[in-house]
Amino acid sequence: MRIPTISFITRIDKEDTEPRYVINEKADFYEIIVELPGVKKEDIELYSSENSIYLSAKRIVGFQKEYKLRINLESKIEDVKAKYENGLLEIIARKKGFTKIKID
Amino acid sequence: MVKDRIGPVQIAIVSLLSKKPMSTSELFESLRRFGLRSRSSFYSALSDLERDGYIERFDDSYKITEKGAQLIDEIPHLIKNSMMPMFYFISNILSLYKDLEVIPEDPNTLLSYKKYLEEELKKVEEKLKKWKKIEIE
Repeated sequence: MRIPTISFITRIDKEDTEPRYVINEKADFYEIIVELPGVKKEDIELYSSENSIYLSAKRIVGFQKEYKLRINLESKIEDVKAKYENGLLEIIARKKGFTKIKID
Repeated sequence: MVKDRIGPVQIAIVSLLSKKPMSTSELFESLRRFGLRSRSSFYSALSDLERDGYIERFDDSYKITEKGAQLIDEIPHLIKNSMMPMFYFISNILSLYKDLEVIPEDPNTLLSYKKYLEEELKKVEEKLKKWKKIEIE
């Protein structure tokens, strides 16, 4: 009997779903700006773990597109905040162990 | 953007060359030990990798390029996103045979299957605990 063979052919398609983004690393926090043109705020899901950010988003109006992004950061993070305005998602992730000191 | 076609033979060649440069015959012999039988698949994978800049000729051997080294980092992603769906597909096909009772449905097997699923569910819940949903302003 001839044994059937299955060939897996795949494509590197990471760039198809990965949105454009920049990371600005400061002494005590990371600022991450992600471009999500045409995406509504309610269609964005954002998660954080000890040292990663995970984002998934869908553009459902016009040309439909799905975005996925996982960013692994060098430092551990806590207190992650995010704001979405005009197609730009701004994520501020404070580095663990850093607290802002108020100067009188 | 032209996308490169990456299959298991290509992944195996790049992985082998990431250890040390190897000649064509050494490469084929190594892959043959892993179960590859088709010489044409091997030569076709080798020429694709050279054409796409993942490997390059080095004296009488091949060696990995910078782009090839980056592909090594991509391998877990490739397996997870492309090959795992194929395994799910195969297991779904196998599940069709459940109706034909090829897979036993006795209580012992079902109980051990339930235990397996509960253990898998625990692993998923542990992984989910590490993630926190962030509200977007």
